[in-house]
Amino acid sequence: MGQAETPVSGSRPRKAIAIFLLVGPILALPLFVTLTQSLEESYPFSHFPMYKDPSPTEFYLFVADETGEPLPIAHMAGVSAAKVKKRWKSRLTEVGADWKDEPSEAFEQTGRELLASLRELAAARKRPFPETVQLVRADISYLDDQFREDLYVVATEKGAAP
Amino acid sequence: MKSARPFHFQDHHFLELLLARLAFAVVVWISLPAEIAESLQSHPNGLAHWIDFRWIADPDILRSMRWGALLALGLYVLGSRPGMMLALPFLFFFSLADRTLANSHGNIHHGYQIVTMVLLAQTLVVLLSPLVARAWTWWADHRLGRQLMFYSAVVITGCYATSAVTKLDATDGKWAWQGPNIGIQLVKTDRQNYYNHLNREGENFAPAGGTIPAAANGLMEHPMLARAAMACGLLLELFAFLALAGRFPALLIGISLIAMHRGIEHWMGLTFEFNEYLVLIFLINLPYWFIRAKSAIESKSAKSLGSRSEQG
Repeated sequence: MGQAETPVSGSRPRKAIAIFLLVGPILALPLFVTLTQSLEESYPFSHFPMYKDPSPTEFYLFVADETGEPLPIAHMAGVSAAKVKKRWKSRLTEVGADWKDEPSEAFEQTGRELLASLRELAAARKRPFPETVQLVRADISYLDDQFREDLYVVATEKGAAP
Repeated sequence: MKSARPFHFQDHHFLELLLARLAFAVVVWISLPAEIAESLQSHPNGLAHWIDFRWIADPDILRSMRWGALLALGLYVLGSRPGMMLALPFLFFFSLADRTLANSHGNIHHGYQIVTMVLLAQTLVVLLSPLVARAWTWWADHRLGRQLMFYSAVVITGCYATSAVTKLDATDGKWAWQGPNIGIQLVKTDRQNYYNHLNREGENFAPAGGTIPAAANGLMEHPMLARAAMACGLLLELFAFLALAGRFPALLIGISLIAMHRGIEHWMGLTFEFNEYLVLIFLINLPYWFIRAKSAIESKSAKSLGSRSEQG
């Protein structure tokens, strides 16, 4: 490759080179970490909070028909079960609730809204939901040397029959 | 190409830089969407608070953007300075718009940030390069190549460092001590993977109340071992930046990070493919080791030829 060089005159660029070479590398990493920690979740920046606080209780969600038979949500709506959970948590935060709270009207309302949005996505993919669907939550804990999974229905949503 | 020098002062072989650009271009291309099914911006993230990114989901616009990206990636791989000054901002903007929209549905995914941030770092390096270059060159010279490699590595190791800081901050420094609770997370991930597709062919996840993953039981039954394993992972993330100290540290830390990701995928079913690709390209950097091995073999042969001719 050609290396035809045109000199850049003046002392400013040379000073900039010195600063860039000496200070840049030393500061770059702490600056990057400080920036990502301050901005938290602001794409493309992230403080990568995955598994930041492994707690002794956790939960997951799944979508089921009215008999409780689970639906393959990623196949039907194109949204993974992990995303279903994140979306429900986001909706809860918006209405000032938390997943660790006792089940409330906020749980049910946000759950119904979420199911309705998933129903729309499934219909757009031509993999329609059954008439009635449920959002089921399973709470996981570890007691007496055994894992426990306690299930309960967060919300039920009725849409048009497919 | 002396391996003992700190990363920022390393010279890179022309072929090493070319292959790094080529490999990164392939990774960027894989990370870009062929179609966008959801054009919601219901939970704005980042710039979506001020800018509507839904236009990128339009199939015609997306198709044009993809053609533009192909052209830009070609320019980037060729490595002319003006070409990269045009290509990198476009590629960064495309990646930013696509993933900002994807992260504005109410669920934030953490697999793509590293690609967009490396694009951002390379964009800044290229755009600022005329200010810090001793002389204008039409092609990416050693200095620019060195800076592109170095600041990409800063972003990659910085992502791990910030992840470790977040964990320590959230647990008052006790993250590794809470390690056994990762067993609970393993059960959660197993179940979520099951409910995605109710087990496709070859998948072996279990529904609620089903088989508990062996690793989850193992973590709960051997808490001290779990804490030691989690501490190793945490320390690796926290000190990944030591890779910036030179070629060998970068190689060792790069291999360790990939081993960590392989382990996470095996036990938790979570993949961070773009992290692995970028670690492979910018930290492990196989072309450098091939070039170095080739030079070593050639120099050995030359020496042995020289000593034979002296004897003759």
